[in-house]
Amino acid sequence: MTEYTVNQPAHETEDGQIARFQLANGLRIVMMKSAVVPVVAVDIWYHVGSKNEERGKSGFAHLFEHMMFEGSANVGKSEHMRLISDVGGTCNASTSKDRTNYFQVVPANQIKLALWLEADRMRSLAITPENFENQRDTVKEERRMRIDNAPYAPVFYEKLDEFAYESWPYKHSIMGSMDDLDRASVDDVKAFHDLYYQPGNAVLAVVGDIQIQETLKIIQDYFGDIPAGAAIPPVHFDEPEQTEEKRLVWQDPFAPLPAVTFTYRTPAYGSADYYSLEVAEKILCDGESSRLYRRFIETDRSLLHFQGGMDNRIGPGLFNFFGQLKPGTELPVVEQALGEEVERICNELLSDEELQKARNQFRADFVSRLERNYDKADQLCFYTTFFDEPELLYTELDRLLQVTPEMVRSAAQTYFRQTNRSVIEIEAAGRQQ
Amino acid sequence: MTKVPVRPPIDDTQLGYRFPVMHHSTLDNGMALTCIQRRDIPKIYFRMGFKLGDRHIDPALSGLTDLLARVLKKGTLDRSREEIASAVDFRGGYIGALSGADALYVFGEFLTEFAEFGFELLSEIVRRPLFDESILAKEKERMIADLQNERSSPAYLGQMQIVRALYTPHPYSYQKNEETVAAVTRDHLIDLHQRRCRPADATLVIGGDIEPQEAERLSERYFGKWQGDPDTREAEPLPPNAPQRRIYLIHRPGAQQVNLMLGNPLFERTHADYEAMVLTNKILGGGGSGRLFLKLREEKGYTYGAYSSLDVHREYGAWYAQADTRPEVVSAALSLFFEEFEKMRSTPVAKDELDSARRYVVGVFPLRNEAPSSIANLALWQRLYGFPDSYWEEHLRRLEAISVADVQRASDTYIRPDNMSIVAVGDAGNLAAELGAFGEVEILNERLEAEK
Repeated sequence: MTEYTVNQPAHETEDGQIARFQLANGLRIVMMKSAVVPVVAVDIWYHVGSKNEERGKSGFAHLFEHMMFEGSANVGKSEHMRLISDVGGTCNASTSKDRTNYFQVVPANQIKLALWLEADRMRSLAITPENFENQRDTVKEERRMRIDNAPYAPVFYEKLDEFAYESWPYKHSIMGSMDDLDRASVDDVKAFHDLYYQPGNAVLAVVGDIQIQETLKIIQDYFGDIPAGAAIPPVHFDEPEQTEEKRLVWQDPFAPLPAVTFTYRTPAYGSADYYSLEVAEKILCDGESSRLYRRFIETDRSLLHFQGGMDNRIGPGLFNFFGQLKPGTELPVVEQALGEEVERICNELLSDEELQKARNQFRADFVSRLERNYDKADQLCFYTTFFDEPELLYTELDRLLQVTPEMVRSAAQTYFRQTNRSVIEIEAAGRQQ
Repeated sequence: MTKVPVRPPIDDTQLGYRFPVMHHSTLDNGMALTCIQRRDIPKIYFRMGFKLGDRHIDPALSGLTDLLARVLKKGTLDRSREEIASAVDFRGGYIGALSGADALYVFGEFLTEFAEFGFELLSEIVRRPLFDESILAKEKERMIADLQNERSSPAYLGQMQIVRALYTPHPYSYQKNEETVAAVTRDHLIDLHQRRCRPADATLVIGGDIEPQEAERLSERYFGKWQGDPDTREAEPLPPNAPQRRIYLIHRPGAQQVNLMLGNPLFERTHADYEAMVLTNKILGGGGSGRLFLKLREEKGYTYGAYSSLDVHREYGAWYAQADTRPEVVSAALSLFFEEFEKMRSTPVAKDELDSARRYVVGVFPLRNEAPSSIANLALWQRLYGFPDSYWEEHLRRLEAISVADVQRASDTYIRPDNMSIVAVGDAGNLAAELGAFGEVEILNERLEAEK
């Protein structure tokens, strides 16, 4: 009986080569040997994020992420962190719109411990009502800290998506509302684990000073008998095309200065136009020589801070521009300038030098993302979870390097339209008394 | 039959650690050079440091070193600000500068193919800055506007006030405001640069994909002709006060949480108790397995995180604990902080708990320094302090030698609830009276001035 399929040669890989496997229960495994330092990153992605939440259960995927540290069959509450810390390792987790990840970075000789801990909590959770209440309180404090008590944060983490999207999956925040958090129950935790935390919905990446076959054997031993789960209900975005500009005024009690966000709807990660817009992002927003930094910060001096960029979501995406107005600047001045710069990228082709600059920046970014084993593991999980193609770690760069000035202009014309954007004017409400 | 063990499969061996080999040399003009070669990433990491800290400036000019750091890369005698930004961005590189309590750092990162450009530009920036009047004026204006941004963050307010409470009157307590930033002139920048940014006071660490001989050759080429005598005038700064128990309540109208910070002054970085305090801090409030986190978050749900940390510099240091809580549980949270402090002082920690903390602190060292950039940072830091190459390995050995009695003594000596400085950032409303139960309360505004 074959317990796993081997899609790559089974011999020990050289540093940097990608080896992928799949267990009979559906768990996909990606490994890369990187023996420069005696450190191993173990990263597991579950293909579930806030986009999978039902209405009335906003924030649950993230609350659930907390519950994964509250104990499983052989691990007590808070023991996961203690065991990892005890061997000189670090661990954490994060929830996004599209996925939830759990990772440990450990000395190379502790790889078994990291895998064992992940297997134990994939197999079963041991949740008590007390632990659940405790983490509900903790998450509510996290919400207060990150969103409710911080300047501009309600717009960044909540209003922007709520306003730009029309359909539920991306429209609601990852943190969720206080009411929805109050509504969650221990039974929800069990049902969520049963449905989404199953081997077929997960990708496990191991990168570092490892022996591939030996590691595969451990994974097989620890994860092999976890039962395969049921089919995951698909997420329907059904995002209607936007036909007119949307505008909102938001009163921010903690903002020291007025600010504005311009949000354009963009295509999903991986589509042809996505890469063209990545080039546009470099030209418009990346670095002190970028067009918008020069315009807003150096030439017009209308903004105190400026940033812009695109999300890498697997569903309908957003391209955001955020500007904090300098005292004395009126919003129409900023809007006019952004309009001119957007028009320029829609109508004029990039120069050879600008294109080369963007390409050099992509190459440098690519190299920087290979500096740490965890970063490599996380990219392998990303490309495997959403595209079933871990090799994109290396080949994705080519798609960026192949973008031409004509492609950038065409994508800009398609997406940087006034009727395709949402604008939020942030007023410094606390400063007006 | 399952092949899964029921007990955690832990390997009992601790992997040894060797700090990567450093190649040192000194240019004729006194500039210290260190190269740490690593070939797996096709990139070069530049880390340069000057012994220019808070103690070298007039408190009436606080912010001067920050401004120097901001303006350095914004124009040289050879290239305009725009030319520098374009040249760096075109190569997908990075160049920046930062001021710290004890040093000014200039750093850059470039793909290997642009290594020589990195040397050339770094050399230009530190040797031949323009300090253009109009650029300085813009940066001052931005820095003053940024003060408003910083003060809108409760964490920033808490941090500023605890530093002020624990370090005054030592220069580490100096903090910029609108007036001190406005007072800085081009002449101040030129003077500070001439006094402190000299080759004999400079240390350059080059990490990554380069042969040590090549790093030396390029350093000689781009920094060899740099001249200038070091500034030998060193004033003796005042030591910090020994503060009494005092509570600073920073009024933030409408705040949804209360940011709490509690701390005491500590010693200088070279103090013999440093390692004992590192482990004491780890047990008390280091990360998700520290006592504060387990009590205030995992048991009570009062906060998203409760931690303690060390803030130790060349001349003095401090330690502090912190948590952000909802207003209803502030008193309960403070009481728990004090309970945990007393427990550290009065009851020896279990040997297991100490060993666990030690295994973490020693074991995590190679993890935290996995990337070539982190190794370059450590090497620069070590050279600025004048520590030997064996320093990091010795530090790990000293951690191995700390006993339960050492932790108890450190706790008793340095965790002093009776004269602790306490900062709370929140809506003063009912809070002032509530905090009064813990000591004398002084209410401050967001500029950290006493409320009238």
